Amino acid sequence: MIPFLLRRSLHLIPTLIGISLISFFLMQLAPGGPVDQIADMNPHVTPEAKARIRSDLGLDRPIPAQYVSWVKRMAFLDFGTSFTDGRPVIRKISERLPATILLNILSIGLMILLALPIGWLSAIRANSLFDKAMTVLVFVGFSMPTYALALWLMILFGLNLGWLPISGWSSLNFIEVPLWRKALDIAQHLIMPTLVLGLTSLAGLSRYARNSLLEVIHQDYIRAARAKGLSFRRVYGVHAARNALIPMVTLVGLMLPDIIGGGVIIETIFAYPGIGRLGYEAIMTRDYNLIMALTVISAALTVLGNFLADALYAYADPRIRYK
Amino acid sequence: MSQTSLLLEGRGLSKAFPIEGGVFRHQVGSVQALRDVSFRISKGETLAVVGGSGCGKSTLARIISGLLPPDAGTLQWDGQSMAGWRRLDRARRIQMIFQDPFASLNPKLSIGTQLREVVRLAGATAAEERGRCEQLLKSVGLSGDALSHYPFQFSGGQRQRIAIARALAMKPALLIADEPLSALDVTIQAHILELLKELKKTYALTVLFISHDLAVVDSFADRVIVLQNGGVVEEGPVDTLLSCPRHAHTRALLDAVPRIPD
Repeated sequence: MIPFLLRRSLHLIPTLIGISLISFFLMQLAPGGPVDQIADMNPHVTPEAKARIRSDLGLDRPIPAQYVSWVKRMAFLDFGTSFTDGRPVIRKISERLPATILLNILSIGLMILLALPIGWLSAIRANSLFDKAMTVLVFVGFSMPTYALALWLMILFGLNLGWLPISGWSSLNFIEVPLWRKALDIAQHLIMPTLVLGLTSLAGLSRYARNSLLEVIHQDYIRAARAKGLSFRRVYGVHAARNALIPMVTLVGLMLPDIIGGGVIIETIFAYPGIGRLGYEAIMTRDYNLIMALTVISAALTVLGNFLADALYAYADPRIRYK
Repeated sequence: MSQTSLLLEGRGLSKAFPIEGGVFRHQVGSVQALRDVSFRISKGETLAVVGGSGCGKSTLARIISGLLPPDAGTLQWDGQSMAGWRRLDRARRIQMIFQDPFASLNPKLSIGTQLREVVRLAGATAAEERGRCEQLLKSVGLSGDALSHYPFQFSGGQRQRIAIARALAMKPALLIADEPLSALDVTIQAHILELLKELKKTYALTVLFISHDLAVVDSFADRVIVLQNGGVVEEGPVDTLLSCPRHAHTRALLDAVPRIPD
């Protein structure tokens, strides 16, 4: 297992280099640049002044040299400063990170907790009324635009019933209240965004779980397990689960980048102070350093998610770890 | 084979599988996999069930082992109805070997895990478990090292030996072998057949042997029933049935056996 993981982690190196290359040069190709962004604000900036800013920022150097120094800084998590307020990008991101991670872990957790039982019960009782009803419900959730569901929930629970707050992630009096009230306050703010994100992404995983288990329970080794006289729980919980879970590991592993970038629309609608909204604002204001940082971080998370999926695969499938 | 006491009797067994089709996946027809099949197996006997593919052999095996409920018909074990039997009641008496040893072992669980869970069901204590597993593997010609390995590390013949060990772990009285040789190489087939003969003697097993290979049936079975389209067309002791078949289907099966000219 350990040698496999070490070998597999070596594969990460070329991938990460590739990601940094592509995201850097894509940015070079994009029209406009930081200097135009600064200079356009001021009509009095002369071409000479522009050139001086360029050389101050190091932008007159050869592109490969710029790339090398960018990668060097990035290796120490130095992503430069934001153009909109001059604060270090890494600070802006780390401020927003906890809120986003909390929201997305909750919603992904909710999704997995719902999707697996739904998918598995549907497979065990394939074509039953439960199976059909769940198919309909899950696809309604899937087809429903997140913003529509978000707005309806806001109208119902926020306005009509008045049970839940509809924006932000804390109330105005947050600083004054004791710790347990703070936790309760955040929890109340999280309910609706979590529900919306979790329910609308249920379809893929639950259908996948259903089909994956259906495929497995028609295999001879499941018949053999039943013929051995094993209990229902042992047949499905051990023999079938081991085999049916493996394809799902990949799917769950690929959700890891969603922990950071999953909720752009939802965070914007709920005015939730997370990374998604930060990225949205960065793109709107062409805050290049911030965009680059977010791109690289989410790309690195995708790679990491793949790596974790492979590691879980190796854990679940003896054929992989013995190779 | 002289007349000995009856172990298992099936009467009027039928099974149909629905065919679904159309826009709303409703039932558009059905396949009659078994129609009114009756049979008797005496203690210690080897009964072969032969027939072409799709004749209902495997359906019969699955009904007897409890994997499929029959639409109609009854099974009697030692004179008692099996109707109210639970899975474990059945598993203690009837065990099955499947055709494809690549499909019948769980690829994600070690051989030890797969054997130990049966040995435990069969009533072994935690202390006895390992010894019992090793003894089972030994009886099918494998070493105890196999316990820590996974199915993919074994050849087809070795896997079938493991599957046989797994079936024997419950100490069954009746062993159903559903074409246990047809997924194996010819040389391996001979070894597994020898093993089955030997185990049958050691454990005093009654065997329901499903096959389409009449040469194998000839050397292993005492009696034969011939199935065609889900129904029994001929039945009798292996010697008379194979030497002077009465039904056209049996003759067709016999003609299909490849013969190497001398």
